[in-house]
Amino acid sequence: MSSNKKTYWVFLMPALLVYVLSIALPILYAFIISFTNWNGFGTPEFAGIAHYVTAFNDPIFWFSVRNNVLIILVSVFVQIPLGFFLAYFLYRKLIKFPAFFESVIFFPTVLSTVIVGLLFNSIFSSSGAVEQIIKMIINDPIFRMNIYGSKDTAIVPLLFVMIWMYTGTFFIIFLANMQRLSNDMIEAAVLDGATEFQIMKNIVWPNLIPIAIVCSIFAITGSLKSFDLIWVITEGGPSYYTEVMASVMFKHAMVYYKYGYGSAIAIITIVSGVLLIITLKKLTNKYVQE
Amino acid sequence: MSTMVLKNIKKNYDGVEVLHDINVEINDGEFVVLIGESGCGKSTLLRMICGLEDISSGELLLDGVVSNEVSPQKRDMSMVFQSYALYPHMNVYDNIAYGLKIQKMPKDEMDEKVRAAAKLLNIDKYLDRLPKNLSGGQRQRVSMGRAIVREPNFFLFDEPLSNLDAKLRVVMRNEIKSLQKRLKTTTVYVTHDQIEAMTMADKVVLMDAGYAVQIGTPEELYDQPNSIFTASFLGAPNISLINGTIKLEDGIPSLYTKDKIKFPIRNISSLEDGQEVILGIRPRDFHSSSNVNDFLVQINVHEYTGAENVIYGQIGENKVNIAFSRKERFIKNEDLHVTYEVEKTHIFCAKTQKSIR
Repeated sequence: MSSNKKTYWVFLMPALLVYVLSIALPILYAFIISFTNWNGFGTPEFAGIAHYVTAFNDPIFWFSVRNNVLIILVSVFVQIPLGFFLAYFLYRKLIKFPAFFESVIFFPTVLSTVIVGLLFNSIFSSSGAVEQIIKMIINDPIFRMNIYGSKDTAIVPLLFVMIWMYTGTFFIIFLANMQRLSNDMIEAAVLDGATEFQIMKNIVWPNLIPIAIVCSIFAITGSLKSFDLIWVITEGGPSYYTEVMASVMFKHAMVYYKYGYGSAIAIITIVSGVLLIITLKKLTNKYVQE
Repeated sequence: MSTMVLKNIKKNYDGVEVLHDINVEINDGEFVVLIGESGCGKSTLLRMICGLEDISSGELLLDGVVSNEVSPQKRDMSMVFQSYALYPHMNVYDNIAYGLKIQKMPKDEMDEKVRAAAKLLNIDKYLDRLPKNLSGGQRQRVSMGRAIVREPNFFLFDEPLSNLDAKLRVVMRNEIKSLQKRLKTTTVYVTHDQIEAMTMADKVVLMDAGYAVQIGTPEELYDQPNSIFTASFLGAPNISLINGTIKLEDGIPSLYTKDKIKFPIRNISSLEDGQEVILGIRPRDFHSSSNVNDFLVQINVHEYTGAENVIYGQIGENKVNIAFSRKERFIKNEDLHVTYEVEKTHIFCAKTQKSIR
């Protein structure tokens, strides 16, 4: 080994070690456990692909996948565009007090998930703010909001909270990258006769597509991992209406001590995340210049 | 017709006035250069003309119509930026065509115009390249192509040649000039380079600290500077400035310096005995002389530029910059005696710094 190579390894080692110990090994460990029956004590028994078969036949698991898909869709197609538009408005100073709005939009991002969860719990709970407001609007004193009661709509308040909470992240990423664009270029477009909408569509957006793709990757991985907010607000309930893959996995592993089944769900989550990102990269390859 | 009149134009930033009462008339087809040191307000003025900056007070008349509030999109001007400001994600063709696309011009008409502009500027081979794959000069041409293809009423240039190397700068300078002469488009051009101003302009607006200190043809500014600022801004090497007092002898004024050297000057009737003035002599109005009674120059620095001998020296205690053709007598390590063309000298009031005529 040349001394040059040695130096590379010396500098690489700490990061590599952390990566292997905290990411690669646990995944490998989970992968192995997913083929066994194990309750956390004693010797794991080999179970083959039984847990994967169970998962794919489990309606609750499929419902959690459905919720995860909704979360992904909302983050990619609502949070990211919303973040982009808000950033554009502030970047072009189309509203007054841009610094104030910048803080307001970014504020939810710096809050702890638990605090956000508790806050929205009281907003969406029965006798919470939302119910009171609807009561006043429709003037019906015995109105009961039943949004959590329906299997179809139970996830909606959570999606709303996620938009509120995570749009700020994409907003700030877009804003920072817009501010890096050449001001002369925007002014050249103005003098070319471009309207505000044309500047956004033809000049600013094409230059930020690579950023939007990175944001989408963040959004997809973040959505697949979403757990904390849901756990604080609903714990996956009522019944299983707001379960996501992560909460199903957590319940099986940490509440029912079925580590094998939990690990299988974890592996499915990881694989679907990787597949989604590969697909996204394939689809968007032509937009990313070297 | 495309004329422009700036009437008492002012600019305030947070209550601080940075441009003061600018008055300029620009005729149809004229090439006007705004020149001044950095920070003098020339770029701000250009941005106010095209509408990227508000006009704090005063009037901007385009073809006789007050246009202060007309949006930049509607002023029918195109601008070439120092940074070129090309759209990095569009190829050369789309960069040039963008303004026409916005006008919703029919495809084949647009295509014809884009190709004609590209041909004119010698970039027709690069139409499908991205800006990042072009050299500085090529980018500058694309930027000009984008400006001319729309056939606007006014061209604006904001230091377009500053990012180019010296040789290319001369080439592009000539191209811009001849292009403008051919298209006869009214042009406002900002630069800090006096050679660009002198060679290109029909009319020069010299700016200093937010004031338009002198407006005129390049010849007027060079030959009849109205102040020491104009006289020393234009011309390289700098004009020699010699402080002294006027003495009338038989009614004919001459200048005596502190060290009692007598400099003959132009006969200006308004000069009074004892008046404090500054004498300005252009370097090229000096000539070498074989007469030992003429001014003896102590040479501090001698530069031979090929065509000229340039001397930075002093006559007595008075610093002078001298340039004369290599055809004139100059022998190294020998005393240099010079005369100057008295009729071409400039006299400035020492107090007001203004020219006395």
